[in-house]
Amino acid sequence: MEYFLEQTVNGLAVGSIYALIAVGYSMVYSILYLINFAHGDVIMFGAFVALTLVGMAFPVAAVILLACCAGALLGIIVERIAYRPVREANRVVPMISALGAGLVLAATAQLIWGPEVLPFPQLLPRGLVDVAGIGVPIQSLIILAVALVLVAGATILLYRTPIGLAAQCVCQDLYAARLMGIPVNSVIVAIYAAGGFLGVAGGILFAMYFNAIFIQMGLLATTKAWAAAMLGGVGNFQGAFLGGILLGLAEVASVALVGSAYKDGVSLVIIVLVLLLRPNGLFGARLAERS
Amino acid sequence: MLDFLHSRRGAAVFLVILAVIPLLDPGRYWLHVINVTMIYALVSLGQNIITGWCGMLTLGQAAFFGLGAYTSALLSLTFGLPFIVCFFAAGIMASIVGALLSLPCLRVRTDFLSLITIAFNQLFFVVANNWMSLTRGPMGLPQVPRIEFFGFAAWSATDHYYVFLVIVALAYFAVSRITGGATGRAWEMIRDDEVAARAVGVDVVRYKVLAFAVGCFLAGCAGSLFAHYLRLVSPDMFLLEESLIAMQMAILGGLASLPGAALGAFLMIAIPEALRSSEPWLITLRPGIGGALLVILMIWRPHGLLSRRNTAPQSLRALSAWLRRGIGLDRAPRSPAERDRDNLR
Repeated sequence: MEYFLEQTVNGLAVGSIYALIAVGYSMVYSILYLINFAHGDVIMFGAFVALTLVGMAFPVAAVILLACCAGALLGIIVERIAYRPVREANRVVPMISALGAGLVLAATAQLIWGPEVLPFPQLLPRGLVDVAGIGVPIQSLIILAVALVLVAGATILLYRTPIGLAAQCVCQDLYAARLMGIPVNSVIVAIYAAGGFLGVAGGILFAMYFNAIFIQMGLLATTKAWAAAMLGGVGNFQGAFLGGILLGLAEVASVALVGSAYKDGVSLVIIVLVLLLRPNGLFGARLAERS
Repeated sequence: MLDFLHSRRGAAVFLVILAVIPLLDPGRYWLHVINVTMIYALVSLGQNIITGWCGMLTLGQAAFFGLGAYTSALLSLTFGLPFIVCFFAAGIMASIVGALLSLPCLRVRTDFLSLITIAFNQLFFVVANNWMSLTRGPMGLPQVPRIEFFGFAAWSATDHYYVFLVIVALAYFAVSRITGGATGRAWEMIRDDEVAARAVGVDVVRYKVLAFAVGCFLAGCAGSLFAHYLRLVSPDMFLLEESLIAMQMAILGGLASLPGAALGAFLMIAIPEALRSSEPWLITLRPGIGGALLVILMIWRPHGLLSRRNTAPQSLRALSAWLRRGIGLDRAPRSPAERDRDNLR
C-alpha cells in the first residue's frame, strides 16, 4: 500500500511535468493547427541555458525565470524565421521548416554543450514531508504546485485577457481577425512566446527530476507531451493537464507491471488507442476539421 | 536541364555513368561510399513516395529500415533461408507493419502520422535494445550471411555495387511506372486537395495507406540490403536521427521527383561519408546543416531542389531574376501567369 502511494506521488510529479510541456504544444496547435516540431528543441535549449546560468552562480529563481524567458525568445525567433514566411503554403511546408529549425537548434546546442548526457543540478530542496503517515518528496509537491500555477496562468491568459481573446479570434478565422483590426502577427508571436516559456519551465523540471540533460531530450519530451495532449483533447488546457497526469501515472504503473525498459512505449500505445477510440481526447470537444 | 533529368534519356545516361564507375577502378573506399548511398537512395525513394507524392510527413523511416534489417538477418540466421526470400520478407514485413500503424491516424487526421511514426521509431529502438532473446539487444546480430542468389555470391565491393545498382534501378523504374499512372495521379491529387479528391471518388484512406505501405516496403528492402552488406545489425543503427536524415534526403532532393530522391541520398550520405576522415565535423553537424537548408528551401523552393513543381528558372536570366526576388533586391510585381501558378500550389 505504501509503495503504491509513493509511486502514485511519483506519477503525479512526472505527469505534471509532461502536462507543462503538453500545454505549450497545445497552445500553439490550437491557434494555427500546426504541430510545432521545433518546440521540443526549444525546451531542450532552454534547459541547457538554465544549466549554464546555474554554473554562473545565479540565484535559483533568476535561473528559472531567465531560462524561461530565453525559451520565449527562441519561440519568437522560430516563429519569425520558420513559420511566418510559409504560413500561407501547403500544410506540410511549415511543419518541415519547423523541423529544420529544430534540427538547427539541436546542432547548435550540441556545438555549445557537447553530445554527452550531463547531470542537472538539484535546484529544489530535497527531503520528505510526512503526509498522513507516508513520506512524500518535497520536490514532487513543488513540481505539482508549479505546474498547477503555470497551467492556471496559461488558462487565464487565453480566456480572460484581451490578448487571449484576440488569439481565439485568430484561431477561428485568421483573415476575419485581421479585417477586424486584430494585430494577427503580434498575437501569434505572443502565443509562441508563451508556449516557449511554459515548455522551458517543464523542460527544467524534466531535467531536474531525472537528473539528466541531453540533446535528444526535446524529441523524447515531444512524444510524451503529445500523448498527454491527445489524451486530454488537443487544444484543451485542462484536458492536457489531466492527460499529462494520467500519462505519468500510466508510465509509473507500466514500470511496476512490465519493467522500466518499455516505459517510453506507453506514450505510443496511448496515442494509437486515443486515435482509434476517442480521436478528440477524453475531455476534448468535437472540432470540425480544417482543410 | 530539369526536364532532361526527369526524362527517360536522362535516366539512361545516368545509369550508364553509374555502370561504368567500377570499371575506372576508383578503389574500395569510394565504391563503399556509393554502395551505402545506393541503399539510402531506396530509403529516400520510399520517403519520397509518402511525403513527396502523397503529402504525408512521416518521421519514422529508420524504424522500417531497421525492421527490414532485423527481419532479414533473423530469418537467414535462424532458419537459414536464402537471401532472396529474406529480402522480400523484409520488405513485406515493413510494409504490413507500416500499413497497420498508419491506418488509425489516416482515418482521423494525417498530421498525427508524424507523431505516431516518431513514437514508433523510439519504441522500435527500445524493443530492439531490450528483447535480448530475439535481437541480442545492444550487442546486435553479427555474421549475417552474405548476399547470395542463383549460385552468385557477392564478395567484393564491386559485386555489391552491381547487385545494388540493379535492385535500385529496378525499384526506381517500378516507382516511375506507379507514379506515372493512375495511382500516382490519385496520390498527387490527395496531396494537393484532399477534399476535391474525395469529391471525385478517390478512396483517400486506401490510397494513403497504399502510399505508406509502398514507402515502407522500399525502406524494408533497403534494410535487408544494409544488413547483408555490413553483415551486422544493431539497434543504434536505426535511431530517430536516421529517420530525420531520410526525411531531409527526400525533401532537399526534391519532392515527387525520382532524380530528386537520388540527389537527396547523395547530398546527405555520399558527401558526409566521403569527407568523414578529412572533415569529421560534417557528420556531427549534418542534421543541423540539413535543417538550415530545409528552412531556407521551404521559404524559397518549397518542393525541393530538383522538383518540377517549383516555378523553376529555365535560363540564366530567369535564374538571376529569381535570386534577386528571393533575397528581396527586386520588388517588381510578378507576371500574372507566375502569380497564378504560385497560387495554385
